[in-house]
Amino acid sequence: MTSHPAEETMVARLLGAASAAENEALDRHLAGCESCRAAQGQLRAVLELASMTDPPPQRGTEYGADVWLRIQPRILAEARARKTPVTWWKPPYRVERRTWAVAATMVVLLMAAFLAGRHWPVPAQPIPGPARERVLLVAVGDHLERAQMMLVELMNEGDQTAGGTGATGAVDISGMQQQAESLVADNRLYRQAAAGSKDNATAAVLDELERVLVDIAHRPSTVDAGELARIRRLIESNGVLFRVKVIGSQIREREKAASPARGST
Amino acid sequence: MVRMEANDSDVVARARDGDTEAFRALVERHSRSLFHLAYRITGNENDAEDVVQETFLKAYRTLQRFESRAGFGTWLYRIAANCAVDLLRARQRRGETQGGAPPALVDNLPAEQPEPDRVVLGAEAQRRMSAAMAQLTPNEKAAFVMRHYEGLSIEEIGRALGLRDNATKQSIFRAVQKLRRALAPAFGPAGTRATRTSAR
Repeated sequence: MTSHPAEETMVARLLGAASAAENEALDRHLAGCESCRAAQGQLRAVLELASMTDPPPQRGTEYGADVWLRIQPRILAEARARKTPVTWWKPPYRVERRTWAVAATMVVLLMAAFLAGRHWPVPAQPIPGPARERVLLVAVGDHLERAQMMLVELMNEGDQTAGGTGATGAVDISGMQQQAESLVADNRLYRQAAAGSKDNATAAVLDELERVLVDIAHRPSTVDAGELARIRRLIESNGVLFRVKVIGSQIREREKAASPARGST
Repeated sequence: MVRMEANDSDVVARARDGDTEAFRALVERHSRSLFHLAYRITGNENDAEDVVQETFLKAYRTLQRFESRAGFGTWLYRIAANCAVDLLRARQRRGETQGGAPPALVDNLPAEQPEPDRVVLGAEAQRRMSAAMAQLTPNEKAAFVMRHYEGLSIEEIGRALGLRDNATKQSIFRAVQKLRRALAPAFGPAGTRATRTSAR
């Protein structure tokens, strides 16, 4: 009889990590060695037992979405932090520039339409419907995205303070307030445009968002934990963040449908 | 087994370009498999949750370094395994035990196991297994879990843990050996043979 094989060889075989030659030699030995067969039986039993231990707790199909909700504030905060030093060819910056350009274009278009309506009974040259809708969708979609990021950042600010680091310290939210102020002006314009085009769902969300933005903009620029908690409750109370997210997604879908070639720009 | 989606590459490319919605899709796609791996290694639900979140945060921060020729799922596994190993090592440094037997298992221990042959199927044996798993080093545990439960190849495990193939095999072998020794009383006297032959 050949010398007994090493235990490593048996383990490797049972775990499928042994070579064909090793398996063949082991089989030859096991055929004539009862003690090795018993030893291999034990190792197999160990591995089978390991397989029988309680499986990990099940996580439903929504688990991934839950994980995202928990990490989203930090991911978005990092994404925002990245935007500042990003070089000109990076998409985030390009999107930002286009957003402003589109928003400015829309303001001009709307003002032109408004003035035209006041001074001339007959509009000079109507903007084609599909093009106007596309411009509006792009602008509103980007606006909602910015608003969502600002609100998430503010909620996250509240988390950090509630975590104990700022129990007595004040938190400076002036940066977010400036964003809120800027968003209020745009929001009003988009809300009116949405209402004018009978898009009541979007108009309602923008209306709700506007109230929250105005409230944030008018609070003190430095707030304590209690004040932050109130702001968080304000954001949470009407589910505005969720609604902004939902309507934002819907608008993006409509935007894609209205302009299939947009992704190639 | 590692569940890798064949169409990750497009989504990863968008995420690398700053599309957070694309990254969200990756999170939603891979969270469950990462949770399984993390739970197997840490033996603790809360720790596994922490590992999953930490894995995605690290992945986001280092996404630019991800080499697309490697599967994204495998890359995430690598990060998750390291996060879990780091967590266990930190526990060890603090003198805490690794995740022990699940409470439900302990609660359901039967008073006796009447038939020796049935021991391997009983709760007592499972309790012993959980205790034995807690004795493995973080690397041994991670390597064993990735091989036995997740079906990763030796090469994949080695890449994940930063080990050469031989070292990976040795980690797995030592894990099985420790488990066998810890469970020897449940198997009876035949356990002595393997110890004798393990010396080459």
